[in-house]
Formats: sequence, structure tokens, C-alpha cells
Amino acid sequence: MRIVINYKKRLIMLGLMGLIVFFNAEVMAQANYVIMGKITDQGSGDPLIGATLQLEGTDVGTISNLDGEFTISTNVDPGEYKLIVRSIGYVSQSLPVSLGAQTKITIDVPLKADILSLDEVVVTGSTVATSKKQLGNAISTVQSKDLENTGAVAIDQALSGKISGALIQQNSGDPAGGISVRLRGPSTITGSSDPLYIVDGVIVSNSSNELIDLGGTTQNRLVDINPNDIERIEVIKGAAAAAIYGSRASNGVVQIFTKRGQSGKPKISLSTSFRMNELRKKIDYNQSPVDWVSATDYTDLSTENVTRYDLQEEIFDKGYGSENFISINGGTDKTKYFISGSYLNNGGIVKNSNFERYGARLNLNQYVNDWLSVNLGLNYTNSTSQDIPNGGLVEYYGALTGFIFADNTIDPTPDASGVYPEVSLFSNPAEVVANYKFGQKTNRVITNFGLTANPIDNMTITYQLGIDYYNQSGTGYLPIANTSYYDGGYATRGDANVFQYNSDLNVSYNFDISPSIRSTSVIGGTWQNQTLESISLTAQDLVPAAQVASAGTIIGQSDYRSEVSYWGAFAQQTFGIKEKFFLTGALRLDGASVFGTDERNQVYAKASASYLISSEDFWQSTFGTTIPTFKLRASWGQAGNLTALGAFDRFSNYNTVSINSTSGVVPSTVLGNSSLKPERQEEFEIGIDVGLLNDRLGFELTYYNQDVEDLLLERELASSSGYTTRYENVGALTNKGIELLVRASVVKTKDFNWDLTATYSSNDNTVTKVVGESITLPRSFSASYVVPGQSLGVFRGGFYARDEAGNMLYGTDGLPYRGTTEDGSTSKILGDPNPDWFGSLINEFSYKKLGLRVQFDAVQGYDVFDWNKRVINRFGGGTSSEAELNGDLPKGFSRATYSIYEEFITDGSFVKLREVALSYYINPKSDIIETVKFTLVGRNLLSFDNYTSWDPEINTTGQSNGVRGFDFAGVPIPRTYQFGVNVTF
Amino acid sequence: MKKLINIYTSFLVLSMMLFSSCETDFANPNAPTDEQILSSRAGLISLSVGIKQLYSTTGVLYIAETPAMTTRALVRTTTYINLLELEEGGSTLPNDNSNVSGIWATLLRVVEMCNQLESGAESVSLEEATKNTMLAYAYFFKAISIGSLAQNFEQVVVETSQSNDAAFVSRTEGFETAIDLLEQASSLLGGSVDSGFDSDVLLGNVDLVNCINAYLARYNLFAGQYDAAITAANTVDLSSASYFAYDSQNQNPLWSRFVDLARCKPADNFGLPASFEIDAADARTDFFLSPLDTANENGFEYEELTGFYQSATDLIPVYQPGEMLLIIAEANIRKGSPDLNASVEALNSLLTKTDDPTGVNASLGEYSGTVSEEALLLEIYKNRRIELYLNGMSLEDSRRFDRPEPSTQPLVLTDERNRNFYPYPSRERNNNNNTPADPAI
Repeated sequence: MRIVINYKKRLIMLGLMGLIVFFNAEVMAQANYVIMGKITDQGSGDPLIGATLQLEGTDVGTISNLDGEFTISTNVDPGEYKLIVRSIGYVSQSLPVSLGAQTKITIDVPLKADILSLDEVVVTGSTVATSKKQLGNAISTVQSKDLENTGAVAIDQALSGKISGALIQQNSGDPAGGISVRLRGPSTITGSSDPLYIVDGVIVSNSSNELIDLGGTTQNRLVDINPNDIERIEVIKGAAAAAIYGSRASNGVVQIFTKRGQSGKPKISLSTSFRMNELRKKIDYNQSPVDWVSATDYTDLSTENVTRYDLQEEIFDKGYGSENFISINGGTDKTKYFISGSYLNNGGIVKNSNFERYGARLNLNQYVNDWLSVNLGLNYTNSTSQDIPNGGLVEYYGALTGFIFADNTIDPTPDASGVYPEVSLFSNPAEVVANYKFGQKTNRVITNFGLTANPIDNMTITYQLGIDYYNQSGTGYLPIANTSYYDGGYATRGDANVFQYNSDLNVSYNFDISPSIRSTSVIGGTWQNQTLESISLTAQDLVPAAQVASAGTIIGQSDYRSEVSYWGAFAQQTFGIKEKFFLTGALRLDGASVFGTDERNQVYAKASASYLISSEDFWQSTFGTTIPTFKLRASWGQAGNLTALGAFDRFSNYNTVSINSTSGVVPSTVLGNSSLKPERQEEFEIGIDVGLLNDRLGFELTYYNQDVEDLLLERELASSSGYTTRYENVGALTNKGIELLVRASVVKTKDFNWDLTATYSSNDNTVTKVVGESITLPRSFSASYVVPGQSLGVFRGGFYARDEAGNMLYGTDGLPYRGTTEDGSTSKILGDPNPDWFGSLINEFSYKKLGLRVQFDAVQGYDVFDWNKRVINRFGGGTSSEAELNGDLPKGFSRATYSIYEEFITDGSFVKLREVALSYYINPKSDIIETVKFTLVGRNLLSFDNYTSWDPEINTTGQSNGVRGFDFAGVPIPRTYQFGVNVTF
Repeated sequence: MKKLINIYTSFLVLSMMLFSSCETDFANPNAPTDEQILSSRAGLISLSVGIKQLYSTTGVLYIAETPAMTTRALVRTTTYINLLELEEGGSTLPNDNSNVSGIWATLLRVVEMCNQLESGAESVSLEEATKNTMLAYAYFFKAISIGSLAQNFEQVVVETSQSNDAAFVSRTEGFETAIDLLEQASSLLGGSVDSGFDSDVLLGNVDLVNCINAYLARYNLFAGQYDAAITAANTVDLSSASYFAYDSQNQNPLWSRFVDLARCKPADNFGLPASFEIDAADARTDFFLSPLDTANENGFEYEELTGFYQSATDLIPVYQPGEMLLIIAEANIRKGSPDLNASVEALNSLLTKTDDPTGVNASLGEYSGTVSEEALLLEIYKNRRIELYLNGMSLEDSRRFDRPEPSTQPLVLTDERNRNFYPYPSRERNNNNNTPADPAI
């Protein structure tokens, strides 16, 4: 401690001491033991900052300071205690402490690095804090340091490449572009395969509401949560998660913990950064100096001179942004707080597109008495985006859509009176970015309230109430006399109000059956409810200058409301034998209001085992020196999937028709089915965790096999039923795969460290059963299918006629033509958007105060349908159009290939330099400032791929479950540079 | 003791929080369900309105357009694939042609709605008169849906089934089922319609008693029961007309398709082959057609459509009163002991009438041709094609009057009709094992 204390600091300390006195008056008065010491890294001897210490079975504890030192003052009764010491990345220690006559005890604790994180304490999948080694299933954890300085805007984006088995795909390069997360492959056909997201016990909505039509892509609402607030993320894949979190977690659970206050003086952290986004590459376009005199007569080869324009110039530009974040945390032994405020501005690479996010958070923990504590979390977010429509999925007023359909011999700039020329069937891109106004606003409050009680020894009761409320509104406006189909102007507005809550009660009790067998029992119950109310209005032929949807002829309106409730209860029993062998069994009942009355409640079972063989004496005496850590684990579990069905899909609903001023009803073409039940999933996984070379090298390997049955499909009915389709539990699919995580501490010295992390995941998805030959997925222009024996969403379409050697055949006109299979079909499966494997390689170097982190992500062996190329060539703006003009291809070639899909199903495999982060910190000789850290971050700097358009990492159908690898005028993911300064006080 | 109190308090507080307001059954606020619709008079009335809405919009479109394309009464003016396929015809007409599956699915939807209305009317407590009219209304729409199917398919479904196992019956049985339903409807009404139902549903546009008799005459003729056809036709009040009415949200489907969207247009001379000479003085030509003198890429000449199809809200007759005269004229020839004089008499009434309530009047002189079965049948056929233009019976008529069989090849432009019957839609075949083999042509 410094001797010179300046005036300000003295004031703060006085205030703090006052607080401590206020809350701990009783404690201070009765303190009769002082335990102190120093926590260090066993290898380097460096002090460990922020290690937590706790006297087991009490709420007495503290955290080590900058010098690794700690002091615990307590008035506990004399006796034998265990001091638990934990620090992230180190093996936890449990040291006996005898509190007797001696009131001052000094203990220095060296901690050993824990490369496999087996001692890492997790709560996911167990509700009570459990070390990873006890779990029979794989669990991935990501710490805050891995989420900071990534250049990412949203949590899911920042997680990319950091978890094995998690395929994280950004679907759009918009400033708040939507992201899909798949843990162990898609698990449903009709519903969503997104995992369940829980923030501090609140089940948060990650909906992708399409309130306005931006051409297919949408934001997903995880974008409202600031990655800077995150302390830790735990991810469990598969059915194991559902045992505790219920069937909403059947796609896995991503549990997010935000930063908590820590007792001590207020710690202020301030960071600011500037960012720049830019287009990574432009696509080639027709630059021929001539054009056909007749575009439709393929025998007329006469040309005329033209000037060509690069419309990409009209659309793309550099986007700038900034981010500011301040947090203050501190507290006493009894009261801890964390407060943060943030502002993000992320300018897109499409002109006039932008995303802004304001956020504030308060986390408060209070010990009420010696057996009860409460916590409160409050997070407000305001997210605003200025959107430019792109994509060609629904409406055709997008900028890039206009570009790929454009005749690029027309100068796109407006005339003197501001009127833009028509350059395509759709809109003039220059006009779209300049005059079309689209935007979305979200106001959101996420609140959690929790109670933790220890009414008797060994029993913990926790209650969590989580509330997530938001209002999202989207608006769109096309002025009068524009170049779109809506030349009389267009205005639209859609609002969604979403309210959901979860109320969870868990009781755990643990005791030692015998000195070597420990029993942990947990029972729990949950009640969850979500309501959605949405309303929208769309008009065309507006009055001048008015931008609202009531200022024109109404062409669309809707008012929709839904409410769903979920409930569940579970009992779980774990036996731990000699801290080596752990056996867990659980039984769960889940219900949801969306299903038939008799099918609502379903029972699921789970069992898992974990065996830390390396703790056995025989192991230690044989392999102990070469393989110091070896854990076997296996897990089996069942879960339901609840996402496939909407609130009222089981009913035979009637649509309203109004004719001649009388109101009538006509049955929906979807026949109701009152016996619908949840999709049922069964998963088995087995894995090993191994530590080698004195635990400097570790790996986790998992194999899993997931069978999903009773998949809900909207199956076709014979028309003689009077209906068209009905939901039935008739499909099945499987996912099988391998996940590998390797961590190595390559170099570990006092000044220089080199850590390496690599992940590899492969998943084989097969749809095993559907009704009929295949299902055409909606919103895919009939290109994506569900076919038994194939992966979900395979591309099917026309292919080129070929001879036996595989050479393409050409007609007398010199053009390729469509082939026929042996059984007479003119379509066949052309590609698969599900990757064969994906992985990442992260290298982290630190030399004294300098740090460098380099992350490569790879997604390999998947196909993308490049609609851009198909369209731009057909409409004369592409390179094959140029080749036709040059005489390298026969005239009409692009038109011939247009109707045959084969050419446009392209390999999307890529390796991206996802993140490069260079950091340097200084500790100024100042009383106020603790550290100053400078970072320079690059994101998506390079991509190694053979893709034919901008970027293979895209999906214009947004967060669609089945339609993947679909690139139709989607915004490519930008290259981002960010420079930031972080100051802690 | 303190610990016990702690436990008790914890559980009490926490369980109160957990188990508040646990609702698990949510009614759909967005749309009514079958239980709600079929359990009250108001629900059944709204279903009745829905039946008429569906039949008169989508139903009427497919009923009129599909056979008219096959018998050249309409000419395709765009490249929409469904119309292209119908104009080409032949044995390769796809089972998935959207008109073929559209007429099949839409009319069976109406049948299902009528079944629901019937069971609702039987179970809900209703005034006797309301119940009878509601049942008669359900039987009427079910009958005319089945009848329209039997005009176009070799075998038909007369009872819907949600188990994908509906049985098929011959088209003759289809007509017999329709006749049976109409006779039940007729006896339920006993000549009068419940005034409440009339003002809630029929809106004074539909004279249900006359409609039932007119369709009884039609289907008895198609079923070969000529005496019954004549009897039924004679009971129809020819001075009364019934209409389907439209509005801006439910546009006259033929105006929308043929005039507004201009997907196809009426053929010159109603698509009749050159061997039929239409009297230049025939006022019905000007009633339905206005000259365009244009041909499509296959050389079919077409005109603009007028008649009942000049605006989004024009009324379309449920049947033409003139059809009754044509039925009497035809049935008198075809019945066991032909009565040619009665036939000529009915034909003359048709040719000379000037006071048809729908405005369709030939306004010609009396029939002056040969009085022979063959000649009269040709004259009746010609007049059916004109008087009943776009009434959906041209394919039925073409077969019944033994017009030349189609070749089986597609795109034989000289075929007077390019199909006899339509193939069964894939959606039916893929899901219902009772689906019969497709007709050869």
C-alpha cells in the first residue's frame, strides 16, 4: 500500500470505510480471526490477482489484490475449516485451516495452471456450482478476456471460433447483421435450432423478428446485450442441457454471466475505441466497351459502343464507428455492485447503414443475513439501426438487388432535377442508399431477481425470476416517384411487443453418505410464459413528403397476438465417489401449452458418468508422469423440442373473409391436430479429457450421436380431406459428430508466454424420415429441400447434360443444356450447405506488457447457392456476359446457364483471419490510474476461399433453420479495424 | 427450531413466487377455431358466408377458366405456365397443373365446409326454419361442388375424409349424389327460405328455391334422367335470376383474371369451330364480346370480354335462366321417346326471348333449320356454348354432344377439345391410395 494518499483517494476511502462500517458494524466488532497470505502462480511465481478465497460452508471470503495478497477478517466460531482458493485457469485448492487459539494465520498458496479447466467451476447443467470434472458431458466456457477486443458487436459474433461444436455463422454484413448458432447441427426441420440463451438466470429472447422487409435478413435480438458486460459464458450442447433447463434447451444452452461487484474500493474501468469497416473485395462485373444491339435475338451479333458503370461504387463505402464503455464495481462483504454504461456506433459498409446501441446495467448482490442473500440485475438497452434494404428474397427494392439486376450501361446518377434513372427491373441502387429510409428501434429491459438461501447446513435453495421485455419497431419509406415497383411511394411500419418471464426454484442438498461417497440431490421447478403482440400497416401511393403508413392506400395490415407457457420439474441425483468417480441421474417433466392437452406433459431421463482415472493410484504409478490427467466421461439424455410449433398451430383455425359487408369465415388450409406432441431427442456422448507434458498440453475429445424423432412436419394432405396440410409428428433426423479442443502452453516463461488453442468439429446431419419424397423449404425459390437420406436443406435443381466421361454436352447452338438422370428426372441434388467440418486456431503471445492474439476460423466442405452470379450474368452485368461480348462464349450462354442451377452451387469453404488483436499496457506512476491498455484489433482481415461472389459466409434467408448457404444480394461481412484505449482506476 | 422456521419461510416465499398465475390454456385471439365456429348460430352464419365467398371467387374462377381453356373458349394471352399447359393439352397435361389441382382442391374444400355446416346445424339449437334453410344451403353448395367436379373428372370424391382415404365414385354417381342432395334441400325448404338466413347470408341475391331446381335440371340431364330434368327445368321461374355478388376485396374473379390481369381472353366466336355459324344478328355476341381482332402466338384469335365481367363488382349469375330452355330442348330429344316438337318449342323460346332477367338474349327469329335429332342437337350445342358462355359446362357439353375426340398429343391446335377429362392432382395421388388411374386423355 502506498504511503502517500492524496485528498481524493482519502475521500473515497473514507466513504468506503463508512459503508463497510455501516454494513458490517457487527462483524467488525466481533472479528477475532485474521487469515492472510499471498496467491501465486506455481510455475512463474507471479502474484495472482483476483483469486477468490472462501471458508467452506460460510459466506466468509475475499479476493486477492494486485500483489496477490489477501486478508480475511472473520468472527466465525472456532473449529476446523477448509479454505477454498479459486482462480480462473488454475486448479482449485482446498486447504485445511484450524481456527483455535491463534487468531492470526498466514497461508501462502501457489496455484497450478489448469489447462483442461477441470477444476473450473460451472453452474450450467447442475444449478449448483460444480467443478467441470464432475460432469459427464462436455461443457465449454469462455471468459471475458476472450470476448473483449474482438471487434465484434454482439456476443454470438464474438463467440465465433471459440467453442468446439458450435457453428456460428454471421448471415449478413449489416452493422447488426443476424447470426445463427448451431450446437451439434440442426435438430428440427420446422422449428429453430438456436440454443437457449440465459443471462444471469433470465431466459432471453433471441427472436429474429421480421417487422419490415429488408430482403430476407433480420437482426437477432442477442445484439441488444453488450459483450463488455460479460464475465463468463458457459455452453452445454445437446440433450444434457435440457435435463436442467427443460426442453427449450434441447438445442443446447448458452448461459451468460455478467460481471459482478467485488468487495473492495470502487474500481472504475473506462474504455473507448474507434472502428472502421470496409468492403473486403468487390466482385468482377461486365466492363466490355460494347453491348448487343439486340439483347433477345441470339443470332444478331451486332454490337454498339457503351459506357459501363460500377454500381458497387454507388453502394459501398467505408463505415466508421466508436464504442465507449464505463463500469464501476465495488462493495463490501455484504453488498456488492457493478454498474456500467455503454454506447456503440457501428457504421456499415453499405452507405447510410448504421447501428447504435445505448446500454446501462446494474448488478447488485446483498447478503440479508447469514443464510439469505438476494441479487438484482437490471439491463436497459436502446438499439437503433438505419437499414438499407438488400437481398432478393421477398421485395425487390434492395440496393445490391438493383445492382445484380442492373443494366450497367446506364449512368445511375440522378438528373438535374434529382430523378434517378431506371437501371433494372427493380430499384436504382444509388437511389436506394440515398433516399430509401428503413430503420428499426428496440427498447429493452432485462431484469433478474434472485434469492439464495442456506436455511440449514448443506442445503441451498435458489429462486430466480427473470423478465425480458422489449418493444421493437421497424419502419420503411420509399418516396414518391422512385424507381421501384412502388413508384407512387411506399411506407410500412411494424411493431412487436415481447414479454417473457421465467420463474425458477431449485433446492439442492448434499451430504456425505460415507467418508468416500458424497451425495448431491437437486430438485427444481420452473414456470415460463411469453407473450407476443405485433401490429403492422403498409401503404403505397403516398401523399407527398409524408412518411407514415397511414398516409397512403393501405395494402397490408395485421394484428397478431400470442401467448405460450412452459413448465417443468426435475429431480437430479449425483454420487461422487472419492472425488474420482461421479454418477448422475435425472428425471424431468416438461410441458408447453402449444401441444395437445393429452400430450403436453412429457417425461425425459438423463444419466451421466465421469471417471477421473488419473486420480487412481495405479494410474499415478504407471502413466502418472506422462499423462497426469485423464478423465473419461459419458452421458445419455432425452429432451423434447418445443420450438417447431406456434401458440395456436394445433387448432383448426378459421380465416376471416368479409364480403358484401357481411363477415364470414373460411377454414385455414392447415387442418388442426389436437394430438401433437413435442419432438423427441435422444443423445449419447462419450469423451475423454487428457492432460499431457505436466499438463502443458491438454485436449478434450467428444463423440456424440443424436437421434431426433417425432419431428413436426406440416405434411401434405390429400385435397379430398378439404385441407392442404396438417402438422404431424412424422419426421426423424440424426446428428453425429466429433468435437476436439486442444490447448497448449507452448512457451511459459516469466516474460514470454505462448498459448495455443485449436478446435475441430465435424457434424454429419441426416434427415432419416419425412412424408413423401421430399419437402421444399419455403423462402428458397424452390432450391432448398428436405430429402430423406440427405442433410437438411440440400440444394436440388437442374444440371448440365454430360457424356459418360463427364464432359459437358452442347447443343447445335453451342449452348449447354439440361441433363436428365437415369430415372428421367431433370433435377438432382447439387450441393449441401452443411459444412463437413469447421474449426479454429488461436495463438496468443505475450511478452511483458505486449500481447498478440491471432485467430483463424475455418469452415470447410459446404456449398453456397450464388444467386448473385446467376442473376448478374443473366441480366448482362456479369463476367460471363462480358465473355459473350468478347466472343469467348456463345451469345445466349448466360441465359442457358441461368435456368440450369448447377453452375451456381459453389464451394463456400473458407479460412478467415478472424481476429488479430495487438495490445500493450502500462502502469503509469499515478495514484489515480491503475493501468492503461492500448489495443489494435483487426476482424475478418483476410479470407482464403474460392467463392464466386463477395463472401461465402452469408445467408440471405437470415436465421432460417433449413435454408442455409443462400446468397442473394446479401451484404458481405466487412473487414473491421478498431483502435481502443482502456483505463482502469 | 430456528432452522425449521428458516426452511418454512424460504419455501413459503419462494413457492408463492413460483406458482402464481399458471395458465396453460390460451384461446386463439387471432382467429376462431372449429369448436367456436360450429357451436353457435353466429358461427354457422359466418361459415355460410364463407362457403359462398370461397365458391363464388376461387371456385367460380377455376370452374369457368379450366374447361374453357380445354375447349378453346378462352385464349391464352400471357405465358403463365398453367394456361400454357392447358392450351397445349394432350396426354402430357401435368397432374400438377395449378388449374387442375385448383378446381379439385377448392371444390372439395367447399364440400368439407358444407359438411361442417351440416353437422353444426344438426347440433346447434336453431329455429326450425333457420335450420332447414341452413341445411338446404349446405346441401346446395355441396351438390354444385360435386357436380362441377363430375363435369371435369372421370371419378370424383363426394365425401371428404381427413384420414387420406376418401373413396372415389364414378362421375355418374357424382351427379346422382348431387341430385339426391338437391332433392333433400328442396324438400327441407318446402318452397320458402328463412328470412333471417336470407338477410344474413343470401342478401336477396340468391333465390335458393330456383337455384336448387335449376341445378336439379342440369344434373338430371347430365345423369341421363331426362324426364326428371324436364320436370325440374319447368319448375324454375325464368323471370327470376340469382347472382353471386362481389366487392373491392372479393373481386369478380373473371373480370380480375381476364380483363384486369388479362391472362387470357375470350376466343372469337366463343371458340366454336368454323362449322358453326353464329348469326350476325345474335345479340349475345355483343353482350359477351367486344372486338379486338388479335391472335396469340399459336394463332388463336381473341376478343375482349364484356358481359358480366366489366368491373370488379359486376354480378355473376348462379345459372342462366336460358339453360332451362336448352335443357328442355335437349332432354326432349334424348329421352326414351323423343319429342322433337317440344324440343323446337323450347329452342324457339330461347332464340326469341328478349326479356331474360340477366340480359342474355339472342333476340333472333325462330329456329328455321332441319327438324332432326342431329340438326337440333347441333343447334342446341351451339346455343349452349353461347348462352352459357363461361358457365363451366363446355367440356361436359363437348363430350355429351360427341364433338371430335382429342388427339393424345400436346399442342395439336386443331383439336376441338384437347382433353376428355383431367388427370388427378399429385397431391391427391401421393396421399390417397384410392386415387384411380389417370384417364388416357
